[in-house]
Amino acid sequence: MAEEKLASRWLVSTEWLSQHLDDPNVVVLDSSYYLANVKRDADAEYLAGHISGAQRFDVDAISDHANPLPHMLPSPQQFARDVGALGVGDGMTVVLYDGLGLYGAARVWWTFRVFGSENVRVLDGGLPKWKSEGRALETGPARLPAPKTFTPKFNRAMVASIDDVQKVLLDKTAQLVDARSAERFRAEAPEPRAGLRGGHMPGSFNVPFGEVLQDGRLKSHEEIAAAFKQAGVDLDQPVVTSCGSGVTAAILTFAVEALGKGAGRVYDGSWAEWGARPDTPVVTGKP
Amino acid sequence: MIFRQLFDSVSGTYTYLLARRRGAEALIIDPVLEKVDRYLQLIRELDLKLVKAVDTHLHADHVTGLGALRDRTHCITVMGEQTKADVVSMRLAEGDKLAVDGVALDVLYTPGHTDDSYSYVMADRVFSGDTLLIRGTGRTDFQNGDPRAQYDSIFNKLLRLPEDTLLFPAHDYKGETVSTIGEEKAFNPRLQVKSVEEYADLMNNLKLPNPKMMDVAVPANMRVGLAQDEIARRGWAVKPDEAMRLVGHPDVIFVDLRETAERERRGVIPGSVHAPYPDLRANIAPGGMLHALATATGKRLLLYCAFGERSAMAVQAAQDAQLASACHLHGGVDAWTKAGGPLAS
Repeated sequence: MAEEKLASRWLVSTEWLSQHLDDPNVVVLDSSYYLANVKRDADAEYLAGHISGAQRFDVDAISDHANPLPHMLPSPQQFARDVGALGVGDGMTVVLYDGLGLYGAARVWWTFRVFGSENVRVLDGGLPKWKSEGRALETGPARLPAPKTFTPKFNRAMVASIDDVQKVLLDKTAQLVDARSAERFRAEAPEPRAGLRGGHMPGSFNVPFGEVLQDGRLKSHEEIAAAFKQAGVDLDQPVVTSCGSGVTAAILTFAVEALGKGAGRVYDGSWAEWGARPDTPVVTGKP
Repeated sequence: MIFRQLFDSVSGTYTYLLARRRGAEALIIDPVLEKVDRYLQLIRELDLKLVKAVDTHLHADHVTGLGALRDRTHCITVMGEQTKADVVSMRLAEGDKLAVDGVALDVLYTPGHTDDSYSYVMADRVFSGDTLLIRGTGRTDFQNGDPRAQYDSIFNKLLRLPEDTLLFPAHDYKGETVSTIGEEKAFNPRLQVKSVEEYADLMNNLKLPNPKMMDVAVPANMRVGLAQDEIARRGWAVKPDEAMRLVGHPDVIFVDLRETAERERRGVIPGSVHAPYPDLRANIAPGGMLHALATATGKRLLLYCAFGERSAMAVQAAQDAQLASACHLHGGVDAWTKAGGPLAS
C-alpha cells in the first residue's frame, strides 16, 4: 500500500502509528479536549475506547492552576513532572491524537514545542480516522507507565503575552490572527464564557479555524493559503494566533507551519483574557 | 521584484521605482516634479503603495517630486543627514538601511558632487546619484562640491563594490541606461587618473556653465517641507517644552511613528508606544488599534517622529478619524533633543 502524502511534517499516518504501537520509544497521548458546550466527556470517552497503550493528556490538568484563566501553560517544571509521569522521556517520540481529528492535539503539540520538544507528532485524522479504518482500541483506565525524565527547554519565542499582543497590534511587526467564528469576531454571537465583551482586537484578522480543516484533517496547502489570503493575512510576515482560550489558535499555528512558514506564536490568554480586561480596546463589526 | 527606470528628457534625469512585487510597498528614487502624475499612474497600475520618496542629493538641475508625492500619497520623504532641505521626514546616514516591505538598500555616503550626496546599494546594483555617471562623474564646482571627497567616494567606496554590480546613475545625457562598476573602472575617462591630485585638477578645469534650472531648482528643493506652522495654527501641535510636562501623564499616550533603526539610533521618549508611520492609516482609522486605544481609554494621542513631518501628516489623519484631542510634537525628536528633552534607549 502506497503511503499517502501527509499535509505536514508534524503529522504521522494511522498506518505508521499502527506499526509503531509496540515501539518502546513512542508514547501515544490522548489529547482530547472539548468545550463545555460540546457536551462530550473526554475522560469518559478515553475509558470507553483509546488507542492501545495511549496515556491521557488532560489539557486542564496539565496547566497553571494558580492562573484563573483557562488552561494556561504550566511552568516548565510542572510540565516536565506531569509528562514524565505519563512516560515521556528525553529523546522519545510523542504521538498526539484527539477525538475530533485535529483539536486538543494541536494545543498539546504547541505545548510540547513551547517546552522544547521537536519529537512530537499529531496523528493525521486522529481517533475518527483510526476508528473508521477499523483499527483496534482498548478500554478501561490507563496502564501505569514507567516514569521518565523530560528536560524542558522553554521556548519563549512561541508564546505571546498580552503585552506582546498590544505591541504587535500597534507596531505591526506581526499579524494577529483570530481563530474564533466570524460571528464571535464581529460580536454578532455571544461569547461562550460569561463576563467577556464581544468583538475583536483592533487591527486583527479573522480566519475561523474551521477554514483550515476538513473532516478533522488539514485542508490542502492551497486551500489553507487561500483562507489566510482571503482574510488579508500575508503569510510571508510573522503571525500571532489567538482564539477563545488558546486551543483553536494552535490549530491555525499548526496549519501555518504545515505551509513551511516560521513558528507562529500563540496568544495563550486569548479572548478569555483580552475580552475580560477593562483596559483592552475591543472593536466590533467587520475587520 | 518590480524595478522601473523612468526618464525625464528635459533634465536627463533617471528616476527608479522599486518594490518586492505587485501590491507591495514601493520606494522611488530621484523623482522629478513634472513627472509626478506619470509616477502615480504607474504606481496605481502596478497596485503599489508608495511609502518612501528619496533624493540622492539636493538637485540643481530639476525640481524634486518629493513634496508633491508626499502631499498626494502621504509617503515618507528621505534624504541624507547633511541635507539643507528644510524638512524631510527621515534622514539617513552611512550604515543605515533604506527599506520598504521586502526591499532593503544599504546607504553609502558618497559626497563630492554635493556634500549631501548618497548612493544606495542592493545585492546586484547601485544607485549612484550624480556621484558616478556612465563614462563620467558629477561636477564638483558648486553646492559645496569637492573633487577630493568625490575621488574618495568613487575610488574607496563605489569602485570597491563587486565588478559586476549594475550601475544606475541619476542622469545620462547620451541615452546610456546602465553600466557596471567593472566597466566604469576600465573605461570611464575621468577614472583613468593616478592620484587624487590629478583627479582634482581634472575636475577643477571642466569650465561648465551652471545648469539652466539651478536658480529655480536649488531654492525650490530646499523647501519641500510640509507647513508644520499650519498644523500649529489649527492647535494640533505641542512644543517640546509643553510636551516634556506631559511625559508620564496618565491621560496622554506618546506614539512614536519612526522606524526601529531611527529609534535605536536616537532613543525614544520615555513611556511611548511604537506605531510606525507606513502602517498609520489603518492603525488610526476606526477599527484600528491606535484609534481604539484612544477611544477606549479617552486618552490623548501625542504623535511624534524625527522632525515633525510624519507626525504632522499623522495628526491630520487622526483628526480626520475624529480623534479631536490628537496632537503632535512640533519639530519632532530633533526639536525635543535641542530643548533638552529626555530620551531612553
